[in-house]
Amino acid sequence: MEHEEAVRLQMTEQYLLDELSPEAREEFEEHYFDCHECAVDVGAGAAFVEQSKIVLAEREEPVLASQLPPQPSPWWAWFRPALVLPVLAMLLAVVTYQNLVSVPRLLEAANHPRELPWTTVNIGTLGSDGAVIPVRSGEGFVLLLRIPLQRGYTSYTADLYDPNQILEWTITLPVTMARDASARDQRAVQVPGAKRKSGTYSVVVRGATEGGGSEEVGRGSFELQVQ
Amino acid sequence: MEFYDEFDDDYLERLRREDYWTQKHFVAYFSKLLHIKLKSRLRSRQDVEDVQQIIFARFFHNLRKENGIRDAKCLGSYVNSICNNVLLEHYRQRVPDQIDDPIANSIPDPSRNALDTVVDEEAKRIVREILESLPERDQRILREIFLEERDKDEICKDYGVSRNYLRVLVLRAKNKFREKMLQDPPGPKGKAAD
Repeated sequence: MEHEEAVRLQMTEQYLLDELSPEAREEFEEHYFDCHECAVDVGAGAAFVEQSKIVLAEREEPVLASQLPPQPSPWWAWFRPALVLPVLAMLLAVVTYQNLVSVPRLLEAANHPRELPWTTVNIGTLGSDGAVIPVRSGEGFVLLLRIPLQRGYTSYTADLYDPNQILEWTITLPVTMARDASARDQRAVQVPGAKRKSGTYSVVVRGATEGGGSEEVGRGSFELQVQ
Repeated sequence: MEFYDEFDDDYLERLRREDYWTQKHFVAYFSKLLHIKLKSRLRSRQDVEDVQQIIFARFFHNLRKENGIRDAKCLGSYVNSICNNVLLEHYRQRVPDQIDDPIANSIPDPSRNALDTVVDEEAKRIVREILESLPERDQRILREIFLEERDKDEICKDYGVSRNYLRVLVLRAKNKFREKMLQDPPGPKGKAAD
């Protein structure tokens, strides 16, 4: 390659822009290693490119607001009128409904006597399963637990399991001092209303020992019929 | 970078006699050219330095041979051909899954001295001046070519310019840089007259 040809074809610029084919690149390299003028040109161009990268990297590229990533809103953004006014109006409606409808109904229900479905569950007695309690959906009921009296327990715990044997709740019951060995401790437990399904529920009673342990006293079951 | 008009027999003879200043000039001159070439072929700075050392070692070894380099005018071609051979050997030896260490590449080159740093700072100042004198659009084009390394066809499409426009843009900027570097060469200034 002749120098004039290299200049005419802008070989230095093509070399710096990495536009040359591998063959043309090697041909030009062979030329500029021998051509002082082209060597100066390539050297100056390479230095310019190298320094340009540094200078351009130092500058901050202006970014349009629309290109900025969304910033997380501060917590006080919740107090913007556009958001807080509808929320306050909704809260006011809820409070009004509770004061005018829900609370009077609950008070009335709490202050008036009513009969609850109930059944006796004999704990630890063979052949006593099968007591049936018919309840309305969401209605509570009463379980009369009859626990055989045994010495040595400081308290009882009663666990209620649903038909899938999943623990529904636990209650701690005090122990009554036994007068004779055949006596039973009777405890009435009110089971709050809940969305239950029909099926066989079981109650497991455990006695807490003085040493801090516990052991099963017995279990019983009943049939809940949700109507 | 200092340049001789051309390499002659006298220069070659001084090299052969291991003249200190001639050797120093030779290494400085070809180091720059080799660095430009090797940087486009090798990814790590360490590889560039290693290959460069092998090229010089091989050149000086051949220089001392009886049937070594004869024609001073072909000195550049000779260095270039050694470079090509060493590169091929390097590619063959290179472990295929060898990866570059970006941390090592980012550490300042310890072989650079204080004068190199002064030259770099001056070059940077001149480049900054040149870039600031360009229209905003041309500055963005150069940024996308060199810094962001975007596809050049896409750049041309985005800015509605031709590939020749890019070449002319680089040519003008480079010529300005060259002119300013020659006008105001970096290095120690204010030397007292004896």
